[in-house]
Amino acid sequence: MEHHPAIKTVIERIEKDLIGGAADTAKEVMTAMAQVVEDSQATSVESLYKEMEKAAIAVLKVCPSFAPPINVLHMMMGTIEKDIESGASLAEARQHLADTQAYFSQMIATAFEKIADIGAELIHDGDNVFMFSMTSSVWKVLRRAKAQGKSFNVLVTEARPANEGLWTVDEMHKSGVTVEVSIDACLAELIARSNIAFAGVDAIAADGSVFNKAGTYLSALAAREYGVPFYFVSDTLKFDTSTLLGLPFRSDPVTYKEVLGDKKYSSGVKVVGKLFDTTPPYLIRAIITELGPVPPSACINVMWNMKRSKRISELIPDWAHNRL
Amino acid sequence: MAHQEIVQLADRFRRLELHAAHSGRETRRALEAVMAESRATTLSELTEELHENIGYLLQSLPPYAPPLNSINRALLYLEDATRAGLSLEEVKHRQNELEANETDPIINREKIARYLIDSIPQDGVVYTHTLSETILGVLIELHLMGKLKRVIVTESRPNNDGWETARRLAEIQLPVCLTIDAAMPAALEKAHLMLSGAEIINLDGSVVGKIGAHLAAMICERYSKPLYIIADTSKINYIGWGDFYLTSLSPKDLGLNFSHPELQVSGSLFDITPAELISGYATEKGIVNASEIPSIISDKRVSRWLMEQLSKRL
Repeated sequence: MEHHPAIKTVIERIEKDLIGGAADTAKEVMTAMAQVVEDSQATSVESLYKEMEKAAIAVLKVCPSFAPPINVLHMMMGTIEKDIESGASLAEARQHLADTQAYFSQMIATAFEKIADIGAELIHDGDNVFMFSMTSSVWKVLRRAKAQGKSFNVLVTEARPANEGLWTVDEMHKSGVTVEVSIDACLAELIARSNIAFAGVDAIAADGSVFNKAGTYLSALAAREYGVPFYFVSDTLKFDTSTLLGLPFRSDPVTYKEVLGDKKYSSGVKVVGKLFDTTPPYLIRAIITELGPVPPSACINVMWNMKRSKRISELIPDWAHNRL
Repeated sequence: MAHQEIVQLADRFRRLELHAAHSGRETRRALEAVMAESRATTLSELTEELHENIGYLLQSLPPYAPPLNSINRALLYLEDATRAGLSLEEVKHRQNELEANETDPIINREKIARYLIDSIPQDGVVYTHTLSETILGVLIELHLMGKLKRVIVTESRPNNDGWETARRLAEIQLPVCLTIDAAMPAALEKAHLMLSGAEIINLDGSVVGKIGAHLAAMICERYSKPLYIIADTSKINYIGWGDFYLTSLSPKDLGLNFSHPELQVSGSLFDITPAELISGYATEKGIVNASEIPSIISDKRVSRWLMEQLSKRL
């Protein structure tokens, strides 16, 4: 089955892991879907829908376990589904899809500015700020606080197996923020000295639990033990509407090579564990989004207000169980 | 000038080459060498020489109870001898009494495994963090008794001691799963219980262990999984002042090679697990709870000189 060149390109880039992160993947998926609409020779809303559905299924098949690109598919497919229901003309449908793309671009452009403003308000002069692993959204918060003239210290652990925490060390150094680094097993000690803790997000569930790099749950647990407020930082694209269907997050396993490298042990040693973990809602003070700080109990309200596609929702269970 | 064996021992402590389980015996042997090879002509001179060597050793002592207990026993032996008016020759002749106070770690492990057997379900899945000679011995005994299905171990950064645990268990055909420290919650979810070693068991029941043990204990509490400390009574610190020196991490521990030399590496190599997170302490004298720890130590006397030296370090 031949796909639109823009779809073929984005599929290839996702499969080869050539796109930087979830937000960038979402942007590229949106651009590709918009290109399908723009180049379509469809003569009816229904035939345009069929072209978009074919493209969406192809993208969904290769979509990794993060929510933003799937939410883009929901946005675009949800828009045209609504037009089919309301009997809109093809021209109207094309305009609505263009509006959806513009809304998405505007949201992407402004969300992190708002998030940085809100997050920076939580940081005070003289604070020790713990952050787990690396995430550009938390870096933006920290840089905004620094730009506001606040003097604070960032504490971070290495975040095995890929050591993304060391990227944070480099980024903070470039931004002129003092930083201390340690091993993951020391995170309780670092959090005990902190005034506030932040982590990024891979996906947010309807019940307010948050899926992120392994070690995040451990950090949140330690934060609760020491009475340190624990915040996640994320735009609302990371709210995973598939969890409304009761579906679990999908996580890749930690591989032998990631832990032991080239070291050879007998076959009796198996490397186990997941690259991601789930932080339960009771350990979370709030998720800082472009809408403001969202408490875990309010996550479901955010999701109910997000555009969802019936067709994508039908496909998600098969996607979640690798049956698509 | 410290005795050569004391200098070598201090160097091994500084490099963290010596595990707590062996450190008491090694310390006792080094102190015996000091006494045996001493050129002192009076008991007072011998005591002074021992003080000098112990002072040197204390500077590099990690937070381990066994060497501190061995030092205390040697000092008490000399203090008792002085009070009893023993001659220098008598003291040197009878110094093998120090060894008699030690328990056999191999026999201890067998005893601990027997005490523990009812606390472990058939086909039990045990989680442990890092490397403990005592735990390895107990796991081997439990495996021979046919109790275990699998052991899950976390790698235990920075020196990845958990790898060695995995290697040694695999050697005896005990299925073992290794994972990253950050995956402790997932590991404990699959385990029936956690066994943790100890560098020090304080009299209040708190335990000094390899960094990460406290975090794992918090997860045990969250998941309602029992946590047993596996240690013989040589790990009990009835002297006090043993856990203030938790050894800081260095950039080398993280393998860092950053361009900014002012980067600060934080954290300790050891942490302290509070007693309220611990279900029981499996020792060669049985499984006890925190309040029973003081009662399983027969001799709780502490050398006055040692107390003075340790208080200076605070």
